Amino acid sequence: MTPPLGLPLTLSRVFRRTPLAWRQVTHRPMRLVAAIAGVSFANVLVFFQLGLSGGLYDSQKRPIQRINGELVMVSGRYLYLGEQLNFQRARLSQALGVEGVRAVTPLYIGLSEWLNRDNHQQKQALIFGVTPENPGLRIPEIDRQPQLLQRSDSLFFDTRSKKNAGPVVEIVKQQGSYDTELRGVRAVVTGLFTMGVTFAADINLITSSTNFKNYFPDQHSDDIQMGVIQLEPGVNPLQVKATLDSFLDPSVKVMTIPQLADTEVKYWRRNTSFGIIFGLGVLVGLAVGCIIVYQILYSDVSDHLPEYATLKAIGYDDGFVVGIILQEALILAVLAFWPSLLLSLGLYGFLASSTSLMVQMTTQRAALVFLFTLAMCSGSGWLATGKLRQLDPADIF
Amino acid sequence: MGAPLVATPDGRAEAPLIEVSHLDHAFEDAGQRKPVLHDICLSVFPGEIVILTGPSGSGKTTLLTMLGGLRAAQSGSLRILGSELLQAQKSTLTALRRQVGFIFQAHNLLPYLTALANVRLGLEVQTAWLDQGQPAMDACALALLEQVGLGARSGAYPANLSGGQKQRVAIARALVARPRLLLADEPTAALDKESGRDVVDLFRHLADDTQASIVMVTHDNKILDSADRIVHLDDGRLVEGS
Repeated sequence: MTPPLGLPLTLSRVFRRTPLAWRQVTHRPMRLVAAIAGVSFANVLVFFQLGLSGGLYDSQKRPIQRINGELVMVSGRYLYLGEQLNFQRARLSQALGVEGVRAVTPLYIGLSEWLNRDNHQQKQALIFGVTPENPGLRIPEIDRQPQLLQRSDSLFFDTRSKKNAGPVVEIVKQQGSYDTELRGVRAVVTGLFTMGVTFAADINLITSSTNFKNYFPDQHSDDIQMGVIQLEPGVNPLQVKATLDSFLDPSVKVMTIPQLADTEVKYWRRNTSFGIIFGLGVLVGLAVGCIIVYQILYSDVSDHLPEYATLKAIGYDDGFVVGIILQEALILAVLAFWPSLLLSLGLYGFLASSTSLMVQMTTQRAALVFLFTLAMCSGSGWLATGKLRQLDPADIF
Repeated sequence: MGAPLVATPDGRAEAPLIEVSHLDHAFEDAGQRKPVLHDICLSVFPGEIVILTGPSGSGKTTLLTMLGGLRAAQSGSLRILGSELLQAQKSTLTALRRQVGFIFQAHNLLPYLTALANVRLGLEVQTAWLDQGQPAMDACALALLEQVGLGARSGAYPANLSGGQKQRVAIARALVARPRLLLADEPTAALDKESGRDVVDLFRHLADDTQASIVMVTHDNKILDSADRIVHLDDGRLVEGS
């Protein structure tokens, strides 16, 4: 028999061999199922930790994903959403002259103290001011009922705000409005919307640009915090950004929405320690997986030591015998990955609905966990072959 | 014990497959040197069956493992199938083992492979056989199983075979690649009288047909008559037997 064309000879020899590793792992199906369950469990632990920490940071992007445009203009010193860095509205108007720009609209952003009427405690609130005719944030609840923002003290309240804001949602639903104060200024919640809070504040509020100025009386009337730039359909945002960068004053900078989101996640990663905490969780998951795989393969080696010695005695070299165990490790890794991926998808769905965090499976994360499990299994497999490498075939006589 | 005897029969023209001269061997045990073999000289010629006897602890298993390239020689000379094993590298030993058939006291079959696949492992270690493809290897392995009377049990797993049947599968695995040298440690211990006889006949055919050399360690008096020569080991020294 000649090897198939294009297939290297050594590779075709591999396929003619008895697949010892495969035969061995599948020989006892119940044991295989237990092994897969063990490795899957470790993978799910890792997915869980990555999902929570990723979700925590991804959730910081939520207001940014609502921005009603393709580019934003921010202060040159911009670090994260919530820091009140002003620039002149005239800078935003400069963008109107650039080809491809359809419209611009200001987005006012400020932090204030919200009074919980029940316990008289103040909580940090992030307030967005939007112009009603072209709002800088896409909020369908406001689009449906813009008249609710007509009062000079009215606001929309994010239903995902922390509970320490008070029973706002219940009262608005029952009585139509909730009266309180923002840094001593009367504030009336007349509507509700759902977006999700960030690390910057416990409460999200949206109001009109006119009302925003009532809550921040010290602010100069020409100052804005973010400019939303809306482009004509089919225009490349990066191209417009390049044009803007070429003539704008360095006191402002232009970013695409993904760049802004990235900046936000990076800022919170630097300034919070959740990454380390969940990183440790990932390590624990990997350690559990390593121990499970090591146990399985080590007992396999110990149970079959005379057989492996026999293989060495009849002329198979050390690499071949060690290779059997490593292949078993890789088979376990590949077989265990898919059930753990399925389980994790379910788990992510549950986490997303029960914690309001943005817990999403990405190809990148799935690939990362697959690499982790490959490394984990082959590492433990290598450790488990220690006895095998030392094994002297003369000892079986 | 007198002067060592050189176990070389007269009147042979071919080169011996095994040439041992002045071989000493010692084990390190807790820092102490424990000598096991002293000044062994032995030649085995093609087509010859040599039976190695001796009390336990006399070093016969050690000698057998050295003949099969399972241990490198420490001093003296050990030439097997033309390669010198004095201070030999691991790769030299591995290459030699592929040309040697081994039958161990314990059958050591892989429990997750059928009888046929276990025998085929003896072929897969040879690239020449691998290149012939699986159908050719299967046919050859099946032919050997038929020769040891297990043609009908080729698809059975070791767990479903009796002790004697497992031993015969192990014998088929050792013979399948037509080794020029066959080394066997108590090959008939697990077999009844009749199948023991069949196995010895099989060895005789192998020696006569392919001019292979066979070295056997055995306590089984019933098969001593099959040997061309019996050599006796006593306390690590070789004595030419009856």
